[in-house]
Amino acid sequence: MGEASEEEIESIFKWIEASENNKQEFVKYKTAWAIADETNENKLQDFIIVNKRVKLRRLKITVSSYMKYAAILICIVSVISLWIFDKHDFVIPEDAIVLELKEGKVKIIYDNVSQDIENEEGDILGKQVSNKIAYQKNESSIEGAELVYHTLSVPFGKKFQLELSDGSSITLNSGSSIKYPVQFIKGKTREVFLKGEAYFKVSEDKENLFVVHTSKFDTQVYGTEFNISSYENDAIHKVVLVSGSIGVQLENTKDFRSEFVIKPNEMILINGLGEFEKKQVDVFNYIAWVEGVLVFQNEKFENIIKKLERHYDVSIENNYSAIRNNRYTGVFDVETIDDILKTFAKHRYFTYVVQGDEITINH
Amino acid sequence: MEEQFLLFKNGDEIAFQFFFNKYYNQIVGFGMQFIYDKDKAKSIAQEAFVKLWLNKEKVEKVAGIKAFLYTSAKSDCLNIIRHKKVATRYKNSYIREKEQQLNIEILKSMKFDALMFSELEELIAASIKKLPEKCQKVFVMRRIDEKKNKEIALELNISVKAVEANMTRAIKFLKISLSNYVSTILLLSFIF
Repeated sequence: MGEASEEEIESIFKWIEASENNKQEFVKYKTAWAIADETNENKLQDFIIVNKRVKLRRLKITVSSYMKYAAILICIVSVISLWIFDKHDFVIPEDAIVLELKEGKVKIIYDNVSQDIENEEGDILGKQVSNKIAYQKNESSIEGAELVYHTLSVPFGKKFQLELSDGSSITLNSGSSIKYPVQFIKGKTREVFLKGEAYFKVSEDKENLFVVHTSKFDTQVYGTEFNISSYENDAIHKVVLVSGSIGVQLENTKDFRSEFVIKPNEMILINGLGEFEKKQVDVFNYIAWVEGVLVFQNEKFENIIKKLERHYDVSIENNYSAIRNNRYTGVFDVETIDDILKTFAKHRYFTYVVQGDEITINH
Repeated sequence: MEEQFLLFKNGDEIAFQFFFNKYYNQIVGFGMQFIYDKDKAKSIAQEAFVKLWLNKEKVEKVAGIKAFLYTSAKSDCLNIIRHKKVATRYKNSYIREKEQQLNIEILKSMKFDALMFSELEELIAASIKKLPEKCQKVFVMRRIDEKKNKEIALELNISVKAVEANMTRAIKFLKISLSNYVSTILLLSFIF
């Protein structure tokens, strides 16, 4: 079939322009045609090109959004690095335990190392011995002194212990952080701020209340053992009491706070709407993590995945949605993540692929 | 398809490649209809897939993938035409002008919603009735049922090469047949 001559084509356009109907009809057919058409390219080769272009684009996006701030950033970064890292020039690894000192100064805490924790003046504030930092006990505290805070952040896959200046001990679970005063001040409420999960053994001090603040609720105690789980991306936050008694305050609104008291072996569950529920529980299940034991008590698979992610510092994608609401009971301590997944797969069959830190569960 | 779509949404590159294999040639073909340059049409199609991958969270339904790709190709075609970067096919400046005006109008009228696709399918279905039977079957299986060449080959008990040949034949036929609706003159200008 030959090519139309330009005269012929001109006559087509004249036909199209002759009436709106002609034009509409032409538009319709040409559209159908454009959609129906296809070529025969080397798809594999062109897919590789697309992937390269995606990578280039990602790079470009990052560069261009940074460009705007580049000048400011360079200044800030150079000032900060002078000021935070002293002589050291390093980047904080994602899997490091980090201690944030006064005014944003950052210190990496290595596992199983012994060292002194000092302030800028070189005064010793505390000591790290293996996986624990113990602060100097309050001896004589000055009235009206200002509180100095430290913040300890523990990455996924790790845990760390703290002993505060009042002798209270805190075990911080993986993916959590806590802000606390280096020295508590007599006559002032002992306040700490938690994100994530921690197990507390609070030293008794009838005169000074100990308060744990989380994003959703406050827990007040005088001296007791309890566990708080308040991860931002968990639907349910929990407080479990081991001994003594504690009061939990929920901030429903600015003006209204509901408070209730829980007794040993009781747990309070708080959901995203600030609603709560009290339950009788076996405390062991909720504090077993302190000893490195993973306990699942009639727990939904989707929650188990979250715990496994934090415990093993992996990310798990579950493409097998039917299993999400299955409930499991089990105890693991020395098993690898692979052992655990194999055990679950035995109960309700699924396959999984491990690629570095990423695990994908498929039907 | 639904399963592939969920995987795609979750960032699965193999699922992305599945949709690439499914639609790439169609998007190149679409670009060719307006830009008349293979390299540019390929570049438009590749860009559509790059954008699709970078915006996968915005695609809500599996049908949205096709719509996203055609919409991206449409706006790139429009840009190229407006900036007069289209290969010149005619010496006659009147034809050139008219063709580009018309192409802009056609592109602008395209919505790529479910309604448009179903109307076009009807139109195409009416046209393919004139195709030889095997051609018809191959075309329907490929474009309406969205099956792979391999599956079609297996089902019709022919080779993959034969499926491809039939598909090419069907498309050529279809172009002629569609253009027949307009006029025999139109047929001449759009066959190649």
